[in-house]
Amino acid sequence: MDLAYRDQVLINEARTELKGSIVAWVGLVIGTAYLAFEFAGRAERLGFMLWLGAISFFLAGWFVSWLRFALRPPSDEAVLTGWIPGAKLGMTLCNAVTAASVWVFMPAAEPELRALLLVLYAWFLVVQFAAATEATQVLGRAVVMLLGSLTVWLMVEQPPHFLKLALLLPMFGLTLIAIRRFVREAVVKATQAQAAADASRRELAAALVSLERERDAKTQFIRAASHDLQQPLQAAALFLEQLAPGARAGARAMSLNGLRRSIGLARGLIEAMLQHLRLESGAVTPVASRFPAGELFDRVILTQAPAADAERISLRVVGRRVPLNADPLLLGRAVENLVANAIRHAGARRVLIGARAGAGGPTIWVIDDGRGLAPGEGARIFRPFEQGQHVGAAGGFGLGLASTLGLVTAMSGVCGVKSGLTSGAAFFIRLPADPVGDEAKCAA
Amino acid sequence: MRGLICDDHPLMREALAGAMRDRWLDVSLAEAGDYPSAWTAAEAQPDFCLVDLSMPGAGPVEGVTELRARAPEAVILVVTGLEDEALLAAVAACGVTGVYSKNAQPSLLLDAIGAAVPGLRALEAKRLPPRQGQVLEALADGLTNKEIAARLGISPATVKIHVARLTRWLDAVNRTDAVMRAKRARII
Repeated sequence: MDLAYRDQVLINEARTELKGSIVAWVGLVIGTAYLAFEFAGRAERLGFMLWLGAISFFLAGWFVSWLRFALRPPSDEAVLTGWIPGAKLGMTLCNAVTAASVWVFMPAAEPELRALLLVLYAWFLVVQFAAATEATQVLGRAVVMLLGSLTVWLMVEQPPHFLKLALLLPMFGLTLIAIRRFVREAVVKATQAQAAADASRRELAAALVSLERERDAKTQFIRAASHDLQQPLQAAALFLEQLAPGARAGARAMSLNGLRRSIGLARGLIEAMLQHLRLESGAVTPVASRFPAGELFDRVILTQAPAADAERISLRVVGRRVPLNADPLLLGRAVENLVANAIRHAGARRVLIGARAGAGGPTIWVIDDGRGLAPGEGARIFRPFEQGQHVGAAGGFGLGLASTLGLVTAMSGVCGVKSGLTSGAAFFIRLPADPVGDEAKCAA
Repeated sequence: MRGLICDDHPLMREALAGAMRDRWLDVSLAEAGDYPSAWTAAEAQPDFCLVDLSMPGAGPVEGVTELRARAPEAVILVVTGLEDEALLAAVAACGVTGVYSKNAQPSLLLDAIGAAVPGLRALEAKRLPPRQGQVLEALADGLTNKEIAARLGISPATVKIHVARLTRWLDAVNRTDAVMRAKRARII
């Protein structure tokens, strides 16, 4: 059984027992009062006074402790480390005083009263057996002390039938302990079953949370996809409406241009979504190779220069000779996303693409001199369908940076954004120093 | 006639503005891509506002309520891709004249906008062929087909065709209804 779980069960049991112990306290007070009344005149005085003093001290301590427990319930830690050992000590002391009382009451009692006393002592043990929980149980000690004391007294004083009684008492004690053990085993099994059920419930709850998260992600994807895809398609339909026969030549040209851009936007969105889905499903497997950063930059410039020119943004590269060891296609797409992002949304005039070698692996930077990010946007914009505060006129889907993160993660790298290096934002991709290739993985 | 188009998607704004200018030649349109810009633009008291609900700067209900407050006389029409019925009901209760889906066919969407904004039909009337305009005015004077034919120097059969087209264009059930609708839309 899980240790923490067992402790919690003990603590809960001990709390219930300590709170309800006032009933046992009242019973013991009544029993003590009867014995005091019965033996005040006939028991040996010193022994009687010692017993009365000890049991009264014990009962007073019990009551004060109970008051404290009820008025100021202790913490779980205090119950475990203070109250449970304290209760065990108290029970042991009570049993020790009761065992000693055998030598005070038995000599002073006539045979009938002795029989009653024996029944009372047995009742005392049975009550302990029934009332005490696993946490505060001291039955073994109680049996040894009380029945041992009685047996020794019988053997020493040798009253009528002493031998039979001396044999019966240990048998009674052993029977009590054996029953207790059976009960204990049943309780342990029940507690284990309870623990297993609780663990299953927790696992089920965790699985449900995970399932709900997955469902929410899918719902979000579908909602965002339908919303984002709807815009260019509806725009295309509106542009088509303007292409009705009889439209002016200027208006036709504008509508055709709008139609072209709408369809281009829809196609871009579908490509971005497909890439997102491929990354989500883990269908992307990087194949690393060694190449200089310049090769990567050439590809990025080739694909991004037209958009940069249209926006009159200058693209500049540094660190062409830095060696890279990564999947060139995946890394190319990741950097293209960063550059496209800077061109579309940063409001920049210049974008610098650079690479720098480092002990922990090479880092690729895409730095712009645009507006920069709003506080707290750094982590959010890498989540799917999240966009920064500034979205460029060309619009966006909120998938570019999420896709970059997915691609870089697939290559065991990290990516992020820093601000403050320039007036704009500085996105980076840090690649591992020596990526573990498929061959290496297999060899390992 | 001045309108305000509020949509966070630039292409959608451009397409909607183009389609509206195409249908209503003299409409003057301002554009806003987020709620704060829309609120500022609304202070110019446009005659109507077309609002996409999901825009940056505010929630839909808050955004539309503020727009209503800034332009109390404007006809506010929501053109949205959202389908959350509770949200649309909440927005509709903010002094909005109509809520239309972005998925609607463009011609139907424009028809609905034209029907909801008084004055847009009047602009559209400027595109009526001159002869139909003359027939509409004659109808408003209470003339019969024969009298109209005599006034305009055309045959009664031609007048009948013009009347049928006008009635259909105005979604009217008969010629009297057509005149009523034309007056309501400030076409005559």
